[in-house]
Amino acid sequence: MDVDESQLKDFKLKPMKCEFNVLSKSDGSAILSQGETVVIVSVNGPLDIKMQSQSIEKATLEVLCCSKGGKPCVADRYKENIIKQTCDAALLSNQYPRTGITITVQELEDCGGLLPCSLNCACLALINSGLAMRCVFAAVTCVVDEQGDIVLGPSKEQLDTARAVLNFVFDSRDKSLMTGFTEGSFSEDTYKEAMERCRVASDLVFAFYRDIVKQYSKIIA
Amino acid sequence: MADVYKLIHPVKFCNDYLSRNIRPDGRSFKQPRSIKINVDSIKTAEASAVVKCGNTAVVCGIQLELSPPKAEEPNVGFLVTNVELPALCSSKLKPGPPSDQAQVVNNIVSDIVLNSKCVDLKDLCIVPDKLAWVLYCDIVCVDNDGSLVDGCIIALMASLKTLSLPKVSYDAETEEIKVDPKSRTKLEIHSFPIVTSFVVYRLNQSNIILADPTAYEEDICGGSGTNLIVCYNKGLFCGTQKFGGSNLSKDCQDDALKTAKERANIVENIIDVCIRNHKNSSINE
Amino acid sequence: MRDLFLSNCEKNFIQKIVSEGHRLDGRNYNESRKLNITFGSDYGSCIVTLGETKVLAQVTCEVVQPKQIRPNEGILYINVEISPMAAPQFEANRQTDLLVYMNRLLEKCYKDSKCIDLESLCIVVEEKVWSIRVDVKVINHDGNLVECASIATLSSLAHFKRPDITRSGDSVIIHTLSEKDPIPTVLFHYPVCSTFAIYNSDILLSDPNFLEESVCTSSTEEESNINGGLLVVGMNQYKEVCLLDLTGAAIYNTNIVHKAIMNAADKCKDIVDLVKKLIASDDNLRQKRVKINFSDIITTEHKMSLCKKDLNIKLKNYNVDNITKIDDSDEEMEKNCMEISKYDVVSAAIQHTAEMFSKKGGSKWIEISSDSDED
Repeated sequence: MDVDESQLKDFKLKPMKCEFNVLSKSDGSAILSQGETVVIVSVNGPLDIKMQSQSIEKATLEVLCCSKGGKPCVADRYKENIIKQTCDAALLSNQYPRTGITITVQELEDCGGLLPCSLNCACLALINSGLAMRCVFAAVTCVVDEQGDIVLGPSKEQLDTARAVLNFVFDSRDKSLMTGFTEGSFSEDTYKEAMERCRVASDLVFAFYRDIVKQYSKIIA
Repeated sequence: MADVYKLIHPVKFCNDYLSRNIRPDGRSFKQPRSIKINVDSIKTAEASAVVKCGNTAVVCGIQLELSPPKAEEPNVGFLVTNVELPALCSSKLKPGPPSDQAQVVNNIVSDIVLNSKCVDLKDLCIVPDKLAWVLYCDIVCVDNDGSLVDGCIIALMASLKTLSLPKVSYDAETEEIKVDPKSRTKLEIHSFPIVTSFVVYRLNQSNIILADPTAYEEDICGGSGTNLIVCYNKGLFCGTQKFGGSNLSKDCQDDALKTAKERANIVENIIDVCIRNHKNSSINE
Repeated sequence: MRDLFLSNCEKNFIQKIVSEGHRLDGRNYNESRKLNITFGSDYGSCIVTLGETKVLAQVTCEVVQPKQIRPNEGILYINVEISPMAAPQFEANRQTDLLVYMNRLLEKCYKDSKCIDLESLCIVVEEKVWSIRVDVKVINHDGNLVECASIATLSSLAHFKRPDITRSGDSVIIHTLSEKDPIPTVLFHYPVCSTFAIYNSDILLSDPNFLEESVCTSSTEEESNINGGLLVVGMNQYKEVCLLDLTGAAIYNTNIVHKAIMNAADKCKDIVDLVKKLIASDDNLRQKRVKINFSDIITTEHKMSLCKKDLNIKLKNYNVDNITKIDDSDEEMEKNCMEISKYDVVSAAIQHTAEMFSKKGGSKWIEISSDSDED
């Protein structure tokens, strides 16, 4: 997709910072901050796992989301499900039959947009782990505010007062929708416009990925 | 013969059907299964409904309880949904604590109820800071043959539509509570969310969507459960979830939104007719 | 994933170099790894790094009914979690021995030592008290979890502030942070644990890493290792012992406990001073409305290449200045030095270039590599 430089200026996302290899014991790890939200993800795999959870066709993917304090809750299961299904679609897991891949997500700071940040961080950790992937993915959030305008990369206040919050995850090859989840209600036109804007903005995330990988690998640079 | 073929070449079996524009169970791609609804089926519950979408059967029962509201929000009542997937509803589930799938479905259902604002929680408050209703909505799946969220929401909405709250008088000085089960007022339902599920199937380099999939179709498309859930609520969408399966192209998405709209109108009609019938029959008695 | 097993030669090697006065990462017996404490944006959240071991702690509070036997005291609850993030051999939501052991040690150190003024957490006797919950999450396990977790617990407790309350008649109003300044928790004293690995029942290694920890508690095939163990000493800033715990073999050399306590006393004092200093400076920054966030720990300082595995062996006579000197003279060398691993080690790439370079005249390099062969 060709993107106008001038057009891109309108598509501002929150500033991102990332570091690879933060954990010495994991096969792949990344820490990512998007605005003030910070997440750390570790990837372990392919691992030797119990017989009953092995699959002869592909690797068994397990995702664990840990909140910072308090007890685990139902909402964590939902997050795990979204991350798991997205990573499952992106990984070439049939290359690792009878093994397990574990992704652990630890929240460090939650100032809104925790789940999209976790998804992006999981993708970076997977890149770092060197597991075979079909594509990489980028999660982008936007909100529909009180006036009905679409705002990309919302702040915490904007998220709290928003009429609707829409999250989209795009794949890197043809920018098609891999995962999407929404809160609040919105019209069909808003939905479509929000999706197109996020699709364009996903280029920024992919550019950021490329940048990070370049810094860590001299072969690509 | 077909059974053996299905077992040996599961993907080819499905492809053979779908490339001829028909699904293994004889439906066209966007045709949902037939729906049967029965309201007020459980006499011990305040309101209840049994819903069958094809082979998927879901029972919903609502219980009422009184409780003081939360200190932070003194004028708000509670609506608690709980989706249960017992081992009997599918061969994949084992008895024991709630499975991950049940928790995920529960989260989706309660999100939809919250986002659509179909029940104003302030209506459930009786005396601010002292007394409020708690609606316990228990949704039990009896048979899971795909599109579980559709069934859960239909059952829940049908039950909520028939729910009436008994009159409660509260004496502020003695703190005495009197419940009069004879005189009842209907709970106001402000919106009508209806969910349509889809799966995205990759057929010959292009993606197709199948509306209201069966459990078999869900399996063959990968991912756990349905891939795309669209919730339509009187002109607005209040929640679209897409996870797993193949990627969604623009055409498919437009198709899905259109199908969801159409189906929402039909389902709304079915529920209304069912409730009207039920009222008439109860008056005749 | 099954437990990690060490080979006999690994065990023998570690035993041997320790008895010869060396450690794998080049430290002295009494030397600890680098300690780093970072605070998050919330009150009572911190990440403590001890070498490569990383622990996250978060303190939360809520109003609950007090226990009947202690109607005028608040409640302190400590919960440790070790997820697969810490190391691949851990499983999610599994109660392991290590977990129970750590939980108990932290409870002994912070709850049973009565370092927190629980009575100050009371709001209405027999009705409402504050319950303080410390969630300790192990992010990376490279040995000495107890010490790292205890520093994390202490820092987060000392850093934590609970919302202020107002009592008017029967009702209690809890103020948000913007309405009224929150109140810090009262700590009578600051206990900290430190761990020592005992080798051959007379050598004490402070702050053992994962390998040293596993070797001293396991036994080799030829000689069952009856002389090793782990000794945990908990002490506060007044050099009072709050906790003593021994795993592994019985100690017949009483001097060793005394030695450990003497060592721990100075170390704990230093740690407590550091924690206090950091909290004071953090408070200062917050008053100036500087935003503090965990994103500050993301740096680009230590970058490693994706394709090279890092080496965590440090040569004793090795010195970083050596490379930088050569660095300036050679372009290609500079490129490689961009990727010095975070351990400041001789990674394979650098050694390789060094060898090539040594033909020109830098004989120092050859010395070092021959040193490593001897080791």
